[in-house]
Amino acid sequence: MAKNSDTPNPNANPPPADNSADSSSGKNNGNGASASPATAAAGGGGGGGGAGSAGNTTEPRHGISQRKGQFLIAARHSPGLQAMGLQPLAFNVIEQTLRASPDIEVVDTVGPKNVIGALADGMGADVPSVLVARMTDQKAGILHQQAQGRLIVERDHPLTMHEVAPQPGLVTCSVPSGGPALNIPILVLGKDDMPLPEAEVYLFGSMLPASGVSDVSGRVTLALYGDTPQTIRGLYVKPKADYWSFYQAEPDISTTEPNVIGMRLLSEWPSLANFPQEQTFGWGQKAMRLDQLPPNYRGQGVRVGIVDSGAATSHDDLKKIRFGLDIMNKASDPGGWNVDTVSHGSHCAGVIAGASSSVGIRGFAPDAEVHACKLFPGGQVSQLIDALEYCIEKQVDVVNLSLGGIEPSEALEQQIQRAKLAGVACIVAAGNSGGAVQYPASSPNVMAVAALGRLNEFPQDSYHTQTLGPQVDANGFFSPKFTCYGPQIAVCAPGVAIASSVPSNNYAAWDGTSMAAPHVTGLAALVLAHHPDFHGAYKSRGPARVERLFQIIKASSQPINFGDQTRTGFGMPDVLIAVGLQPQRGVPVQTQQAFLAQPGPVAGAPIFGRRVAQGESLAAAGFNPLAAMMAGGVDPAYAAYLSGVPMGMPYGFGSTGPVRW
Amino acid sequence: MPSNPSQAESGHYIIRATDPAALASFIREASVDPELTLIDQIGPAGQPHTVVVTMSSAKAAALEQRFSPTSSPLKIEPDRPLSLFGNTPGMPGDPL
Repeated sequence: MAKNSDTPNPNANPPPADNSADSSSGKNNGNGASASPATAAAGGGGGGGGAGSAGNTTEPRHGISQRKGQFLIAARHSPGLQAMGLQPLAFNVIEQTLRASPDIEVVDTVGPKNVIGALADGMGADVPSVLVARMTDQKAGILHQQAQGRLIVERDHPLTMHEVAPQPGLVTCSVPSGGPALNIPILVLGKDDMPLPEAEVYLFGSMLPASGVSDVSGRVTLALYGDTPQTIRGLYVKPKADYWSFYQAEPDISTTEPNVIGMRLLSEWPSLANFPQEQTFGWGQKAMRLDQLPPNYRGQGVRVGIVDSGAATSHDDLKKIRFGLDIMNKASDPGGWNVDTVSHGSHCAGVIAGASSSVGIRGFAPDAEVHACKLFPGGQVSQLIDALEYCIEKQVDVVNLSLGGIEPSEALEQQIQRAKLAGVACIVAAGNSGGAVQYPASSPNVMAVAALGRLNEFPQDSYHTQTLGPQVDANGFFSPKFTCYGPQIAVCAPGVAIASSVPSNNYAAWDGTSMAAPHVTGLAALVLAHHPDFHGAYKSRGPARVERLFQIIKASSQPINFGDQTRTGFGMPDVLIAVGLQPQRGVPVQTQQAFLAQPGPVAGAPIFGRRVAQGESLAAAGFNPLAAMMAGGVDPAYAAYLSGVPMGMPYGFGSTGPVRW
Repeated sequence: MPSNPSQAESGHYIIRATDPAALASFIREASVDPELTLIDQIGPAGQPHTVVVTMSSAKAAALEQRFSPTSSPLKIEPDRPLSLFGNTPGMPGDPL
């Protein structure tokens, strides 16, 4: 076991970056442990190139690595192999080979204890048949490969008692109450190796997890019952703010010395460099092309409701918010909406309307008039009904609901219908249970939003990696395991590793459909403020306006191909299309073709494709915005704007050729 | 242990009306019924469409029976808790 005292300073001389799939923390102590499939995918899925590859340049700075795993190794007795002339390997040969390897530790042999057992195996008496050895995943893989099918190499999986519920906090008869506790000292360090207080630390063992919060000296000691260091399955550290989370499966834990965990600042991630001192677009905003929107598109004149835990106006990004209601204390202290003890509402508000002009994260609609309706902690269905009443009364245009319940409510449904009749559009998070869409997202009168993640938008050793599901598309977008799904999903939006504002004046990267819905709510505010339809035929408040809004958002969406539309709906909405600056996907096909076929040095090439170099203006690239405008493909104001601005690196919209990521 | 078993089972309930007059009548009834405590009224000023009431589960069951005809302008349901769908303090799900 690697002792953590070997790495007292996680910042000191970090190992060089490694793009390979096995560049997980295991290499930190030289044991060469390979990453879990999920970790490997998160770190290496982009192939080291393309828009998201910047993440591979950061180095692990924590002091906890993956420990060696225990494997069962035996000769394979297969008639198929014998037919090919490959005889089973002799046990003594296997044992000698393994014992000769310096990075393999043979810990046991298992075999028949008597003649009957030996006969059952078809072997001679006293010959063991299985070796138990400890090695890294990588070594086990090499061993398996080199044996060319003649060795069985498999993980020695821990057995669990099925009556123990996986969720914490349930009372079962199997909870060990006596016996020795496994006390594990942990030291959490932040920037410049300073102690990091208020970090939540969790250890997942074979029984119930243990948790605690680091004190002012960064220390916390967790006690696990019924576990050994070898049965600990995971270590998770969640900082209060400003740092990435940390997660290590099968951590190499010491029980005698402090296990030092050096946390990584959000700004250490390349795409968040200089953040928050310089204003930054989050990866979700960029994926939806907010960064390409003309700067005067800021959602002015639109009212946005955020029904959540309040909005901390102590935050630089949220200090422009002036309206709200504390539903929980509406009789005694209705103005308490600007105190957010949960941080959730502030995080959502930052994505929707983060407003500081020079620092922090840019929200979608910084000039929208935000109304923060506070009903958490402790929110009930009746209070949500009350919050919607406030939104109706204040003529709010779009409401973000990053919340839900277990069962549908007829009373709430009637209020949602009432809101829609009054022109209030409800955009609702689908839920995080990984199952069916929860209510009210499942209502036919709202827009339900599923979450989307993207590879290489978070560190490999962060907890975000654990959200990675099997559905990954060619652009690195993936459907996180937690997202609810079903036929009610209208669209999907970024909801993994979303950096946004938290009280008092900090930032945090969080996961959830709660983070996805605000991306769509913010976009909806932009649509209502800037799409021509809402200054003409759909200017009047009412259900038709709400339906038109939903229709435009869905039609703007970039399809995400997971082979399962119940996880994505129409796809990820696109800001430029949704506000009417670019044609809707698939609708005016001829217009779009004309738009793409303008003469010039890049004739026929995608306007936003890779052949327009980064930093090069469209005019310099030969794109004629006036001609495009006349072809009906682009708004004149946008054409004028485009002719002068350097292009960022979008996500391949309109691409006609191969796009490498 | 509570002396009155019904007190131990009391909870918040939502009563929603499609007819303001019916709800106004119920509010008058609730104000004099010792088994009902009116917690909140929701709706435009002077025209509530929803009330929140504390009562025992037995009383709620009786009201549900009373409001059961489809023609009834009043509907009752338990006031259930909501959850936020993002990171919040507390135990995360076991990632494994």
